[in-house]
Amino acid sequence: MKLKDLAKSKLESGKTLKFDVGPFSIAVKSDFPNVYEEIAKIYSEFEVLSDEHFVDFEITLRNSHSLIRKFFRKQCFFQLGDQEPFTPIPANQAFPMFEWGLNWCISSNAHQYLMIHAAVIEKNGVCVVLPAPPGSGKSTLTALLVFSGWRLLSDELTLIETSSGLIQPLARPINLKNQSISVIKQAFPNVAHSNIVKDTHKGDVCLFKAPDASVANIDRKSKATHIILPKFSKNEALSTDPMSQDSAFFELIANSFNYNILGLSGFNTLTEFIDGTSSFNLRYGDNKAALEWFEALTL
Amino acid sequence: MSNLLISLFNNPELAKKLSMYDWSKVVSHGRDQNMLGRIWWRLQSNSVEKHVPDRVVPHFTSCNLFVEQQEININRELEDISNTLVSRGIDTTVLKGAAYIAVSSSCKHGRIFNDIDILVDHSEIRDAEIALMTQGWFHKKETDYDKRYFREWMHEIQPLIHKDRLTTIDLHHNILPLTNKKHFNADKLKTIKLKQVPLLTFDLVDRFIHSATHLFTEGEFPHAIRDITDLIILYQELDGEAETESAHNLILERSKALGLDDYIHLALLFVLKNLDKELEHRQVESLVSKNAITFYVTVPAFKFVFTADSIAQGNFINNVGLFWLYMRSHLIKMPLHVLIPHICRKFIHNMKEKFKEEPVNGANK
Repeated sequence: MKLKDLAKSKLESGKTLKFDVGPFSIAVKSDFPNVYEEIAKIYSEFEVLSDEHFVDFEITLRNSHSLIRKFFRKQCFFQLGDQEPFTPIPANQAFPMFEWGLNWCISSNAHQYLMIHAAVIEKNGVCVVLPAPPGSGKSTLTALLVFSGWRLLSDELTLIETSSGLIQPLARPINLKNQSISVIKQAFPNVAHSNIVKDTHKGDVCLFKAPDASVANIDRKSKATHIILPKFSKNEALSTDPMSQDSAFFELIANSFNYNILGLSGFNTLTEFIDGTSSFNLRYGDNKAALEWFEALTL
Repeated sequence: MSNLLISLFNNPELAKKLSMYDWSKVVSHGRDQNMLGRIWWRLQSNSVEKHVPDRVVPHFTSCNLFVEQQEININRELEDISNTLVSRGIDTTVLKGAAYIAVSSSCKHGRIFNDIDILVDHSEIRDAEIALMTQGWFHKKETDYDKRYFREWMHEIQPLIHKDRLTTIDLHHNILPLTNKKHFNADKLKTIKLKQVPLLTFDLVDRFIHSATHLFTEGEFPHAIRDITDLIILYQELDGEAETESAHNLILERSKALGLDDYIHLALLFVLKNLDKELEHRQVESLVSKNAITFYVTVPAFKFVFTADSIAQGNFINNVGLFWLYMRSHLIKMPLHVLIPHICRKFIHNMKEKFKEEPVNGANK
């Protein structure tokens, strides 16, 4: 059964929601009704799990224990099991908190993967990894591409299987910030998205639902063919600059969550991963030109 | 109340019978309690790891990858510490987690820890602190009150954090807080030399005594199961090595000599219970039962702490017990005329923090 088929009664505050996100099974329990509403909308194509099913991460989003803070300047606490890894944030940010928290759960525990802070998309066997620091326009570009027919493997976390070197998709929602939100809304008015949450520590944020086809193919792993470092700068003509394999290698290490933990296996996985890929720095100021450039890769 | 973690540690064969739901709980509580790596080690050394479902295995192996990397890092840090302190003639004793790695105790298996604990003589604390600073370890922030709290009352100074590697050193000048009435000079504990670096660590008996004293004077228990299993492993290592006398006699003698019976008897009570050593357990129980509060309040409270997978899920009685242990730890730590002003001060400070403006970001605490 998918989340969209779930009865309304299962989506009330305090109920535990269990579902699969790619290779991970999670359980979510929240004191905030909007978390259930948003999950039901944004994760609608994901599989619901039975009560007895194994769970990798038990997540709770809870109110403050303090009686005053339950009503006055309400806060949201994120818990993995009994741990509270973050300082609480205002309660209206509970759903983005869930997204950030789940990223943290995966990136600090799933060392069966080499994990890179990067987006991954695929079309006709061309699989592009986009590592980039925040502010480079990586998520906006990813959104443009996947809502124009590319398959989304991941927006934030690239999971490279250490055993095979293949990328394991997650197909979770795309996290857009500030001006990007209206850009994507205008370009793709039919794509479902969460409410816009204003004034978070990352500015205004909004989560856009991954295309159904990407979720349907969540078990299809891919081998990377390109590593591209995008940089959006206004009014600049599109230009590319080939990157040597060793530069790409160090770029991926710099964006990695757990290269330092994996030791030799991390080195071996990454060298194999890089082997046979082409790498570029991509500078662009026009989304349409960028889309065409990516399209040309698949021909 | 479930107690999967300690049951699985004591009886790894249980792995054959667990449901997927049980495994979810083992993973979730095991992660909270810092027990994943240690349970994996127990399962492996009893050759039952093949009964762990494929879906669950990565949680254990991921934890082990972390622990293996930690061991490499700790050994390098110990070398650095020894170069910094020993070259200046400061005798340095490695304690707890880092010591277990240095002597290759079985306690190192699956043990994730944040701080490297080292002990120097009280008279050399300032020299040691300055020496570590020259190598890049600094205090994060230290108010005058903190300074006084740590230096006059406690047994360690504020943590020192390395500016590049972010490793944390807890620099101790004693075992128990100076304000504890059972406080004794740390040089009474017996040390041995480490093989790989010119640092010291406690011998087997005192390693147990030190770990037990800490655990049974604590008031908060974020990873109680990990801590009690540390003691179980240390006891077994001593038992394996002691030729003429049994481990429990050696520990009892040592505890008496150091005046630590109040804490060590409790520790032995729980260790012997877990090891099914009935005879010795009864003997220690009769020693503990002499004090009514200990027997009827402290012991049941600890019993909950050292069996429950999650102390956050206790009932009313359990929570009263936890509150007692919290109060007890403070009463042990400081006499009332020091404790009451300290608690008032902390309370006001915490209230101020609580109602400060929202933090700018939700980053790690």
